[in-house]
Amino acid sequence: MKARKLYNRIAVLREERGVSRKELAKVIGVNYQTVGYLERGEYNPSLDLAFKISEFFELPVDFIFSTEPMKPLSQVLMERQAQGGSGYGSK
Amino acid sequence: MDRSKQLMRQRLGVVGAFLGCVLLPTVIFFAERANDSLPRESFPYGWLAGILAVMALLVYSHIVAFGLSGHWKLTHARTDTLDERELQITHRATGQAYGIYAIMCLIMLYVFIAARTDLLGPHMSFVRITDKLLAFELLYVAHILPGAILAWRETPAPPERVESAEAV
Repeated sequence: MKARKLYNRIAVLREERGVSRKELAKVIGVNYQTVGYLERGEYNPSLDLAFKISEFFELPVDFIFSTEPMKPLSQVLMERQAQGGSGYGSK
Repeated sequence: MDRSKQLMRQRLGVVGAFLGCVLLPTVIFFAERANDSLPRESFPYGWLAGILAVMALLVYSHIVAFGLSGHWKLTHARTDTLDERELQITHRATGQAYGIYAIMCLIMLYVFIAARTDLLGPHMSFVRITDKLLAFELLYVAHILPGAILAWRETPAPPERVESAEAV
């Protein structure tokens, strides 16, 4: 069975928080090369690994991973503000 | 070196390794035959150089395809030292290598049997001369085959690039 492609915001979030691939890899317990594969969307993480990543960034899993291409964070925030909400929480 | 160049280099290494495995018994076979026709006192330096050249190709290819790329380490590591992606690609490569190796072993087995029973007459002298080397090569191929499948498909970023390659 061919797995669906998963899109993610790992690279953006990692850049935003100034965390290196090695540091993130160490915390989530994978090889740093695996972080590169995840960021490029060349590898779909297990549920356990996805939760570890979401715990590290303290964000919901569905904010970091999606089956559809991710909108830019600025666009998400603008939409949230237009709806009267604030910050993270939607794709 | 970008990923496509690295992949190309690894693939050339894989081709070189398997080419070396084919060339080594071939050169030894022809060297053996040529040696029979040489006068006793003359040493076959040309053939010796040929054998050394093929061995150098084997060593160089092995280093490029399996050593520098880290695929040898990956396929020979304990499973509890690998992460989930490494386990996944290693298991897939090992499974495919098992299938290919089983077919190779069967073919070699039938060739050895044919050589022993003189089924194909004088055409089997190649196997009779190189049988020990072919058996050793099977052992070598068993070790490199999963790594060769990985080297053909995967391009891990070399460690020195990682800190500078933080691009999104």
